[in-house]
Amino acid sequence: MSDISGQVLSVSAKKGTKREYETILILRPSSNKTNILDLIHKMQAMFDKFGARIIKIENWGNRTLAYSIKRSPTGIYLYWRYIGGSDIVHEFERNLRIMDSVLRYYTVKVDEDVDATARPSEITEDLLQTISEPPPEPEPEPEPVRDEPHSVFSNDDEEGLEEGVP
Amino acid sequence: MSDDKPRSAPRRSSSLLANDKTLVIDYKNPQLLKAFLTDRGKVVPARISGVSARQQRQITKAVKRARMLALIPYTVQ
Repeated sequence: MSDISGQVLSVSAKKGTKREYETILILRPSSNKTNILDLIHKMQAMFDKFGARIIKIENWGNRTLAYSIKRSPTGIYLYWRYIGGSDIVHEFERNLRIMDSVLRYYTVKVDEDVDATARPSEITEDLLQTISEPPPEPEPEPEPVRDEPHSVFSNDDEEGLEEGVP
Repeated sequence: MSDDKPRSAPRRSSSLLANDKTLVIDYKNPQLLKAFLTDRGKVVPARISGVSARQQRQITKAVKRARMLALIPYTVQ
């Protein structure tokens, strides 16, 4: 019998397997290194409490948004991948909603019935230092050329097309 | 008579992307998704892009996710 109070056990948790999720956060561009480190450390404690494990966190840097969110034209993208039950997503998103620095978040289930022990965590303290420091290149947006149609729907005269292309 | 009007030529074009059966549609790859959007940011119909029904379902789902994350726009003015 489950005797952990306050913890909701999902079906997969009863089976002894977990689910793999990925969450993308968009932070305010004004967030600095200590803000991001604080957020990660706070979340790590929360993940430990729920028996979930962060597999990796990636920083995609400060990117130009396709439309402004909460009057911010740019945002820092953080990509999280983790293993846990459905309860962790609920708690994670509840925490994100409270934080002012989070402009937006989105969670996708990647896989279910994952053996939690099979996937090691790549998170180390050194790595966190580099993650919290956004990469310098802000991903230059390629300007679409209007007068020259380079769409994939007009490349009929593509050269080097041979049979057996995988 | 309008009934006898010949139908317009099929606009379907076989593109490299559409023929690639191993193409992985990922909402985190806006560069790839932009190939399936018009200049105004609408999803190109499968009958024009020539992708399979399965791929078109994956594309629309990925486009909607990417829009939510501001990776691609909802509309372009």
